[in-house]
Amino acid sequence: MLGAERYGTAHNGLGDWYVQRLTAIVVALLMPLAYLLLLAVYNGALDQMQMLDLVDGYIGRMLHTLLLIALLTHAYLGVKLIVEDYVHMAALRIPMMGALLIGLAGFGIWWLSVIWAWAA
Amino acid sequence: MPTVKRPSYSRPLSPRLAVYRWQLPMIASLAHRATGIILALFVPVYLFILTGLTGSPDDFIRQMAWMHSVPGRLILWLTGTALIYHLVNGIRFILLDAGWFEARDSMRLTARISVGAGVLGALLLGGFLW
Amino acid sequence: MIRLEIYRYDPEAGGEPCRQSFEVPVFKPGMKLLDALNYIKWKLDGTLTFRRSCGEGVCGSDGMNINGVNGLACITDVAGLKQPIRVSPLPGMPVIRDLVVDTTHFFEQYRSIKPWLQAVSPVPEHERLQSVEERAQLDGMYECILCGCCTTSCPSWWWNGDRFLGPAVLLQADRWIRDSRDEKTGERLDKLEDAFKLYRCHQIMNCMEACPKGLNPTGAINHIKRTLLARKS
Repeated sequence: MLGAERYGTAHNGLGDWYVQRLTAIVVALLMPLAYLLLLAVYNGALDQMQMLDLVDGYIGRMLHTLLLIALLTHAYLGVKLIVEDYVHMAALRIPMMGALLIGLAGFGIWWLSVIWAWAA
Repeated sequence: MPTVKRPSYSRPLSPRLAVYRWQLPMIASLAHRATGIILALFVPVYLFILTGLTGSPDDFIRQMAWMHSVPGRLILWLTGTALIYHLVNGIRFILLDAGWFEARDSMRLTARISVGAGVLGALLLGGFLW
Repeated sequence: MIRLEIYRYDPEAGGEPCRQSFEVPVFKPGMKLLDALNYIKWKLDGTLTFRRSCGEGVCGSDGMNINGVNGLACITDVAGLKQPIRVSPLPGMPVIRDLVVDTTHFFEQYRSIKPWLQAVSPVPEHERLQSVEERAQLDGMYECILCGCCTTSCPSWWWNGDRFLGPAVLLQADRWIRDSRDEKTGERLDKLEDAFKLYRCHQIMNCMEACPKGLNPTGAINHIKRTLLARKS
């Protein structure tokens, strides 16, 4: 009998689900700030120096680092969920998730280097 | 795209997405997913903007010019709208996960609020950017 | 007259499924969709095949897709429906004939959650008693008649039904998790903690919209997730 029990239980969904929500809260708090800052610069309300004062300080860098860790984790878990939903061939799904992980980690390293390389 | 859930003895699969009526909570969930993908794609764009804005004064001016160009504005508008919707509906999802607004009517009402916030956000942001 | 467009499939005739139009008179007040289907079968075309039994929304046999949303034909008023009424079998299921689908997999999934009371403590002399509050935990759960309207409305189950248990089965799983008399709650939770069995639910809420008994499987699934989290944190 093929049955619903064919695959058993993998004991793996809870961690992803929980971390997804935890990181969601961090992103929900910090991402709007980043976007509002971007709009303020766009609008001319802040010039480059005023903007750098905000993001270049120690607190700005820390918040930015927190944001990028939470955001990239959240994005990884979210896109992973979507890939799992629609890509049914494991031989395709697993490389896709690997590529996603490497790609997002790459962005994370680039992002970190941008934030922390600003002239001290 | 989808695979059949089990050998179906060459029986046809009854129509699903082709017949199912779109309902607001379903749209809200799908939109959460769509906006999530848009925001994930925004990550490299955000880095591109960040490097420009925090670079030399020349870089800053070039980046500002790009942001004010038509594709720049469109990208800011699209990702901003996605962010507003994903934020509001994300809060909704977490509240539902926590067991709040779990009655059927509140699930429908909160879906309306999410989609409404997304539309309102799109309009306000559009007004701000143009 | 009421116009209907019904999904037809005859395995013996071969060929693709198609839609057939019928016109049925309104022959009684408060007429239900099942009355119209019966009229077609008895007066117009005896080959139309569908399941029905009690005719009053208790047995759960005549679940079908009515104008795009799943429901029970026997408790759906034709008066409120947009015409032509498009009637299809429950979505995402192998069709046996016309509106009759193969529910084998659905009930296998149901069996997999062991939908019965499991207790290890000795059988008491009389019943296993519950307080009023403990019994109230089962409200919104015990009413489920397993018609399959919710599970077959769920896109997550359409794409991943081989592994995702679907709203009806998860609501039933929650029914036993909540039952104060059941003593295998831990084992039940163990078997559900799976990215595909349980966490494919993305709060699409089609199940809640479809349930003809007014239940809320999304809420039940969220309760299972919270219980799992509370157990591990």
